Amino acid sequence: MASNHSETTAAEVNNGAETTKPTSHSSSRSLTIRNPPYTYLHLILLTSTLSSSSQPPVDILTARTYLTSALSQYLGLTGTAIPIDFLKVEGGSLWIRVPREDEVALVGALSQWVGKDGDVSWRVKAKGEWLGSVVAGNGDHLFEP
Amino acid sequence: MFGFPELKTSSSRANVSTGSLAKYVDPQQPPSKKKPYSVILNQPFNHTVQLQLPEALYDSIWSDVADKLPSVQYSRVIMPLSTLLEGEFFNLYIKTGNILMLSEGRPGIDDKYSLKDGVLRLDLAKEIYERCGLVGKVIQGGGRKHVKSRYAVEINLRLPSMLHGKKGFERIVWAFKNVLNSSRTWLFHDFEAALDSKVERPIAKHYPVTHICSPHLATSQAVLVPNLAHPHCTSSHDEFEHWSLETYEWLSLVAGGSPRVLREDTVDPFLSRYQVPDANAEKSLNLVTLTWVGLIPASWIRALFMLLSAKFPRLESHVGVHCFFALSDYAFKTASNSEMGGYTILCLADDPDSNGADADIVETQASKTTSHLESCYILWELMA
Repeated sequence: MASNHSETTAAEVNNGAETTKPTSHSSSRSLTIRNPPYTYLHLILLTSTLSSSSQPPVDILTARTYLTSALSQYLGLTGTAIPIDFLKVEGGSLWIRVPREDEVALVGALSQWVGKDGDVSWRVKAKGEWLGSVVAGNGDHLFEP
Repeated sequence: MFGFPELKTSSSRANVSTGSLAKYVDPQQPPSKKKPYSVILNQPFNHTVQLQLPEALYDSIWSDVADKLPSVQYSRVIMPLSTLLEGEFFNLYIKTGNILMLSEGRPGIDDKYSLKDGVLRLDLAKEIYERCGLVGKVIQGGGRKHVKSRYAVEINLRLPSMLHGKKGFERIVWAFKNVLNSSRTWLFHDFEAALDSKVERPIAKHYPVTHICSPHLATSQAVLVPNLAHPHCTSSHDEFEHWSLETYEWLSLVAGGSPRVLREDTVDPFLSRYQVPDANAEKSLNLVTLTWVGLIPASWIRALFMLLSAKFPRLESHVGVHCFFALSDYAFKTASNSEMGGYTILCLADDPDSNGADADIVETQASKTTSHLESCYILWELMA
């Protein structure tokens, strides 16, 4: 009896799925995302022009070391616990993602930091909650000759 | 804990909406009221347009689309505001023709001017506004209330009263001659430039530097693809929100050329914990990203979108592989207060393979679904 009952419910569920299937894509729905989970930053490593004539490329491990150094200097051990995900490293540029709550701490740590006896420092080129906008920039370079 | 200002809510948000694309769109009467077309037209000053699609789809449709796609060009020119009201420039570009212009300057900090459909918008600081003698509206600043620090003046130069000799017009001429008289760098787009390229246009007097926007092509080999079919309408709100956040992030990573989405990527989790959601290692795709940079008008983007979507539902041969394209567009900020900063439209062919759970049900309907493939879109509108 019990097994029979479960069979009918299973059939009903299956039936339900079949009827909702054709409308699944044609129907429209919308929502607003507030408070996205991450902040994305585009950072540039600045090196003093005295030590090297051209900007040397930065590799991912060096970048990680510099960021950890900046965070531990500013916030101590708690600063190093901020999770940073490296999305792309290219030349002197770096695209990273941090939880949105840690953005203020990270930007604060980066802006006060100089490493290697004042030879290197970070600059925040762009930041935002939407990675596409951070990658695309603000278009200001088009005005420059 | 450290006394940082708490970020409880973020000012940035995204509206995500889904819907189905019209099966047929008349090229003579392009839609303007319906989403996603309304969103495209709502964003007049664009600096970056990105198109992402699988390499197989690119190979089969792009040469055709590129043939029909009108070329787009823009110029960089240095001139003062008063030039807008001078003789030929005023008659040919503003009264009879149509141009799009945007001046340099940081929104909300510097004075910024823009011209669109004959309406000139001046975003001015209080001191300048009070000196120039034109009537404008207060711009609500983000910070302190009841402090009027910036004003926006909007002048429709196509009104019949906007003629040399009329009183209101002479007032504008005076302001441009005596107050707003500095030379600025402008980006300039002429909607009728292609029609008569041989005749010298009035802009030539100001020595413009003209660029033709041609796409920059980048191919990402063997990209892991998440489940692009969006959750059913029966699924929960949270599930849909999760899916839209992850998919947008993935599309942006591919557009930015990040190695994290590649199949061969072997980064240590200490450096990045990003993982492609629901990735299947055997299913990887080569993706092509085309990027246009310049002052790009909305009408051109709509033309591109219409060409792509017209090609799109007729791709019976591609059923079974991932069939999609994503068009992203990022705009210049023209005001400091929150406005749309960009959007992404992801178009999907309703692919029966992607819904593995109901495979047997779909199989019985397979013959029907291939005969009238319905494509749907997911639209992200980003507010910064």
